[in-house]
Amino acid sequence: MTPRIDTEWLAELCDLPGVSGDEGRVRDRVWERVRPLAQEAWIDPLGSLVLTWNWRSGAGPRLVLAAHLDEVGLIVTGITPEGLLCFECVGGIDARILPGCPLRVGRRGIPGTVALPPIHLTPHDRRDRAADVEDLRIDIGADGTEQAQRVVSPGDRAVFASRAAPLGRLFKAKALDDRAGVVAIVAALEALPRPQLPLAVAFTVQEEIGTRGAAAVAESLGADAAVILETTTAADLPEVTGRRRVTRLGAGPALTAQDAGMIAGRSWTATLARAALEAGIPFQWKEAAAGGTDGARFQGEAAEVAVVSLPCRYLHAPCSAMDPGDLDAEARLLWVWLSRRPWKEADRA
Amino acid sequence: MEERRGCVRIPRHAEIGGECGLALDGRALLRELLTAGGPSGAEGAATDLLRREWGLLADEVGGDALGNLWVCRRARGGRPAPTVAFAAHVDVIGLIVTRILPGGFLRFAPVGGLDLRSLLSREVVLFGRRPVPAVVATLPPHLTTAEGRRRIPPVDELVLDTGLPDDELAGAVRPGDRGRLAVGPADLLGGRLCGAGLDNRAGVAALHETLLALRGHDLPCDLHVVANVQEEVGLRGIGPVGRRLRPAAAVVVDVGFAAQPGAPAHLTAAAGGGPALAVGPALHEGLGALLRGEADRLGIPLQREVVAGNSSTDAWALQVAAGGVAVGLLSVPLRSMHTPGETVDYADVAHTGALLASAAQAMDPAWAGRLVTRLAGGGEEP
Repeated sequence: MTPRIDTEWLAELCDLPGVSGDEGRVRDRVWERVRPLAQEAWIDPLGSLVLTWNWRSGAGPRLVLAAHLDEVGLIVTGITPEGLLCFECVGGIDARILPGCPLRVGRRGIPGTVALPPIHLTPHDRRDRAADVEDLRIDIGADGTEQAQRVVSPGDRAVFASRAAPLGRLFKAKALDDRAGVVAIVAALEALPRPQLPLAVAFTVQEEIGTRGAAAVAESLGADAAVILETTTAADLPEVTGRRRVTRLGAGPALTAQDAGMIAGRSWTATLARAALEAGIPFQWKEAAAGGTDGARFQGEAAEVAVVSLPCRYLHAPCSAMDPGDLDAEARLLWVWLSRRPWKEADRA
Repeated sequence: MEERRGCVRIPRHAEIGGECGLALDGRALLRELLTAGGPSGAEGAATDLLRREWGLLADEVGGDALGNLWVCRRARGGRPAPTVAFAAHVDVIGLIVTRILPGGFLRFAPVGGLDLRSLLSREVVLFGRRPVPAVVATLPPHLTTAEGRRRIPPVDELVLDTGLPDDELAGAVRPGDRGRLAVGPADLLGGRLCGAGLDNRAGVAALHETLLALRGHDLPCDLHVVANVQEEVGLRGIGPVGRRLRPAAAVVVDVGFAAQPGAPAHLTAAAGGGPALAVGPALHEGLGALLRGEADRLGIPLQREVVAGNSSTDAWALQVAAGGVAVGLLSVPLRSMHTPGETVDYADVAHTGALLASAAQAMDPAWAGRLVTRLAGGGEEP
């Protein structure tokens, strides 16, 4: 049985709020789905969901697959006398995308927007300058502090309020980074027989504020190898050429030789490339050493790490866009590769 | 007849007959208007909706080649009566496709004062052969510097991403097709509403409230309620309306700046504090006094906006469109104007509508007669 990407489930996961440190609702939906597959499973103190099969008992290298549950977003830091919300960014957000951005705020997901004083009242020499995040406020319609306090408290998160939907032949959603990685792992697992070799799957938290969840998981698992399912930049826009594009949509999942956080393990990465070539699955190499992943944390615990990334345009924004064909290829690659375990030494050369 | 939620039952006035109709209530109409097309020069989807709704509430429906729409409530008994107009522009800011690029991308130019500071990563809809969703593309951080991320790119550096293959895009969208921001509407706390295009669909909704409030009431004037086009590209639609209808007095309803951090307090009115009545040289004092008097009588909160010269609204153009029109300007306070996150307090929209309904009933021949000061002779002025 070949893996099947459940697009509806991907859309549902992407639309759920899960800003770093507040991943509970996403984790619950993921656990609901993978529960029938589990042998051992736990949620660690930071909130990462970990599943293992034959981890201590099995023979052979202990392999972990990892994808992160959290997404970038905003965190409410205060309420003004006018009933507007002060906030900071959680994770790396280009502040220029915020003014006018529709949001869902707090546990109840109430609608809001990032207010911006009208351009008509902005001095000419400041009209082409981005506003400072400290000067921006979330408008939820509250008339005064008290009305706002009834529904929002400092510490509440806010997420982009976009809906997952097709964009032409592409698929757009918030939080494709990294719900797409989660879905790819689950699709591969569902298509495989119960693992006979040591395997762990880690759905990590707090990646976007510095791979916090993965640091804890990597230490507690002590894996020999890790494959990180991530998203990566596709800057395949008009007038961006060559390796500045990093990756492009439609050319399959991207393998990493090196990123800003680590040099990928060559032999395990080679087995992935070989599996793709032999199965006729398209793939590409990430052409710039930009960005970092949970992989560095596993490498820091002496695991050999490979990173497989889904090319996405407009990461860390309300409408990230990916090619569904790439995600399909990514899940197939993972499935093909896993079903060939154990690899011969020659495969890893 | 079934009572739809968000609708009000219309007893038609006596002149039309005893039939009943159903019109959307003001808030429901506003929500529909916010997704009904309508950047400047392509207002058809919005005026079609209004033709249907306002047709239920008036005696006559009219329009012109530019796309302006108006309806008329005739004065009681068909006696000679002053011509009065209440106008709100129905167009919204948007964009126009200028070039199709390979890979599913498009170049575009703004229609009206699109605020580029709020455009990156926004969703838009293009009105091509079919509605085509698109996203304003942004460059990722590795291609920008920290200093570069402080700079708002000019529109000729921006592209839209439709995600369509070249042949499909060529069949769906052509240069010249219009588009607009596809954000909202969303209901905020306390009856407030957020969404791209509240400038000036909020004003149009206020006029709908006026027509609803006037159901079954006789009028001493011929009242024209106008949804005029092309305000955002330079007050172009209202002039032809003024020359066609030749109103003695007219009130323009638009949005104004609501108080918010970063906006100078003396140039704003409070959201939820009622409509703002403009005062200044280009606005008629007698008409202002009538509106203030009606607001006092009804207990409608009214704020004041001082306009030293050009209000940058249709009131400026209408004042001199047809031999001198006594114009007034009511503004619904709006936050974050010309961004996709425009917000209004619906109470201000409803109050504006109620105030105008009351004002229309006070604009009788005697009041209108005082707009022109007769000095000698038998009255040959138009």
